[in-house]
Amino acid sequence: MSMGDQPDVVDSAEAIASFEDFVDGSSARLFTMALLLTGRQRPDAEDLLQGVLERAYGRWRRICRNGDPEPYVRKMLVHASVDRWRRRHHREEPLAAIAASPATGDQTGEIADRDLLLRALALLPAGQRAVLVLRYFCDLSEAQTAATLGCSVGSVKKQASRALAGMRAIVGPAVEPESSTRGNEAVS
Amino acid sequence: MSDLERRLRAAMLAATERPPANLLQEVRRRHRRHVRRVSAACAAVVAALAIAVPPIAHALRTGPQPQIHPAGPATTPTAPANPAGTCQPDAGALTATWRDGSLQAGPIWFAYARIQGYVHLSGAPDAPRSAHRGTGQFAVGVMIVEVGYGSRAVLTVAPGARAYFRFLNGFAKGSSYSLADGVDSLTLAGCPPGTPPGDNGRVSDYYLGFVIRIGSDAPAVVSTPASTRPVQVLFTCLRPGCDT
Repeated sequence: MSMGDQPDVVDSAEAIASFEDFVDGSSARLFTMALLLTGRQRPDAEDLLQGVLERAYGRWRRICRNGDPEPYVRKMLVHASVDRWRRRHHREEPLAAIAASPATGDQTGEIADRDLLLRALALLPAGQRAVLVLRYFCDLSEAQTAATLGCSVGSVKKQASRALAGMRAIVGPAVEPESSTRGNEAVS
Repeated sequence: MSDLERRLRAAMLAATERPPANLLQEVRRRHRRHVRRVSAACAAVVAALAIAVPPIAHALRTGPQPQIHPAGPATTPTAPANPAGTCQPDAGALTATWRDGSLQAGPIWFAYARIQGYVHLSGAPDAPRSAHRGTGQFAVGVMIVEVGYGSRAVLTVAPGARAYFRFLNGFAKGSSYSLADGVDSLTLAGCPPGTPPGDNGRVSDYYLGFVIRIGSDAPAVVSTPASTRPVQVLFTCLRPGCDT
């Protein structure tokens, strides 16, 4: 459903239907994004997404006038997650706390590696995490990421570079090789 | 793209989870709660205004008082029917240079009006260009008026402004005069010429209040027996408190 085709003035019934369609179609993507932004804290992700959708619902007609509402909601989600992180005075866990689970075999090793990476992602500051989520989960370019975050492309590059450096520091160089046992090596 | 970036992307894409089944219901529930809270907040604001506004509402409901004098140029001030009957040379000391920041209109001075901006000479560069419709809210302002010894002036609000501007009784404790709240015209008189100077010089002090619709301009006229050309002024208030 193309929101850009919506008329300027959408009556209430249309707006409600349009909002419900949007939630049906985008909730999986947005919820996963919320999970990544909150460091895979499911209750936090649910609360974050509900709060953002509630605010979007209140201004739905205005959001739809600007075309596809998903980028706007995505932007709200990112800003809300950063605000929430700031309010909570987030404290990082010690690195030892994110050691990967023991895993054997190719598939389990891959799963352990993903788990390790996502746990490392969760330890990054919210701003850096948001950059990585927008770049690699939402597949946005640096310019699109900058537009979403309301900052410069240079700032996005710097944040991404710092975030990846932080990830490397957390997961350690031992997991860089494409070995199926890298998850185990990271633990040791 | 580095190996880490590729693996991170794969990890993120593989992390897809189903959203909670009741997402939409929760959003609606939150929205209803939000609407209720906003409504309650609005009701609280209205209630607070209803409590705070009675003096203003009273002033506006009171309507013309017996003391009201007809407005118009070259009106000869009548016998004092309000504060003018008193002589207060020492109601309170202003700063030594109070005249610098004050606005003179005939024999009266609106103390610090040039600084606080609650009244302007009509047609002056800093005067409001045109009457505004106002915000619908009313504000109470205070002003100190000084009247030269031996002078008398009538301050009258234009008939068109009487719906949204009235004078209120003085705010200074111990004032020896009493003004009926809500009047739109008053007579101010200075002490007799032989009176010793007070703290602020050879002037009598009047501490007055007024109520005005925020954002509106209220034209008024200062007329004196000796003057054939009354001085026109504009009372204004741009925000609650009127910066006075």
